[in-house]
Amino acid sequence: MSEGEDVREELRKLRNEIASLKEQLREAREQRRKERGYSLYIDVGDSIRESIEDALESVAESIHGELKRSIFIGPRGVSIIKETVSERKEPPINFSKTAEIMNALSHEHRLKILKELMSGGKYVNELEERLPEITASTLLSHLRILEEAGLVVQEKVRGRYLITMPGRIAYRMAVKVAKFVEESE
Amino acid sequence: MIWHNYQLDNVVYKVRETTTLWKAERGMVEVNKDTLAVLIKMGSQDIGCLFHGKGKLILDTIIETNKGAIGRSVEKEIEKPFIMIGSVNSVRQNFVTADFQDLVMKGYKEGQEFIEKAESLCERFFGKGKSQACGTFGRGFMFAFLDDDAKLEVLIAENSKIVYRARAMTFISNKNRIILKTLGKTVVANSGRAIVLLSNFAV
Repeated sequence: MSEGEDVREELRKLRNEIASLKEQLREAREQRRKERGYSLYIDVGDSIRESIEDALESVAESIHGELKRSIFIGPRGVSIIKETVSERKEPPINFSKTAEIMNALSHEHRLKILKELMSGGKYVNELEERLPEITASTLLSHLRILEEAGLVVQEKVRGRYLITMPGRIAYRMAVKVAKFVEESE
Repeated sequence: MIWHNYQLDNVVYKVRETTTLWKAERGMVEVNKDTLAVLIKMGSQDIGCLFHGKGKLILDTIIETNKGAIGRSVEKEIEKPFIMIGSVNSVRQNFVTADFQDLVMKGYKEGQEFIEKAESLCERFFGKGKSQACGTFGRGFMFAFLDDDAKLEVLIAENSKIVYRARAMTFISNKNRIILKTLGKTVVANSGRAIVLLSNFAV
């Protein structure tokens, strides 16, 4: 048996082992799901029950459909299907929105607010404590600008401010660009 | 479990001050002063209420993940009649019997007209002529609102468990486990970890 065949045989064994482990994991999860059961049971009218059942089915179908389209299970295991460069259609650039986001980032105080929110949602008084150099009214004004740009979102009931996914990306991007410029100077 | 048909009370009340019907960590429903109300009964038990007046629904359908927050709050001014199923004991303390003027203010000529409108919404919610199970609903609440196109929007809440179904959104939350489905996006989150599925994902 050549060296290449040895490696192929080894790879085949490893794949079988991975498949076996995945099956064990699936069975364990299924067992755990069964053991947990369902704690919420509400008996209501048909109309409302059908509405909720439709919603749950729609969510399940959506998840199933998207997973089916984005995950490929083949002889070489599970892989995530990614868009290829040739298939990707570049969306038109929204310069107005881009400028709004850049404007939201273009203030030292707002960058400091984003930094504070990177570690988790915070109430206004928590931000005031952590950023004493910003007055209360200015802080609210900055938060409004960040919220309008979609970098921050406020929970309306609790009042906490949270950094959004785009907010995290924008903050990291700004910090990286600044670091890059500093290093290249 | 005893089986009954729902029925509407024949007394029309009004809310004498702004009243919070439900409030939890993630949301709240309140009605303003002078909102009309009629009790929904099953047998001798008050199981809920139908309201018509101005009010507010706020629901934080935001998911906090370790990659950033997803979603935004639902803030909805309520103006159309809506149903609340759940304990009415505390709400009833703010009820006074509505007079003719209160009905006219909401565009009704008489109490019967309001009750008929209330019945038609209840029929949509419960199903016409169908018997309903009068089981215990615990401390939970269920709301059925009408959207701009008169489609039903449903909110079911019990402690931290919330199900909200509107035309463009489904939100299901059980403590840290949350599913949010909006147009073009489904987010499944568990304790800060989330999977975001975009429905326009091109393969």
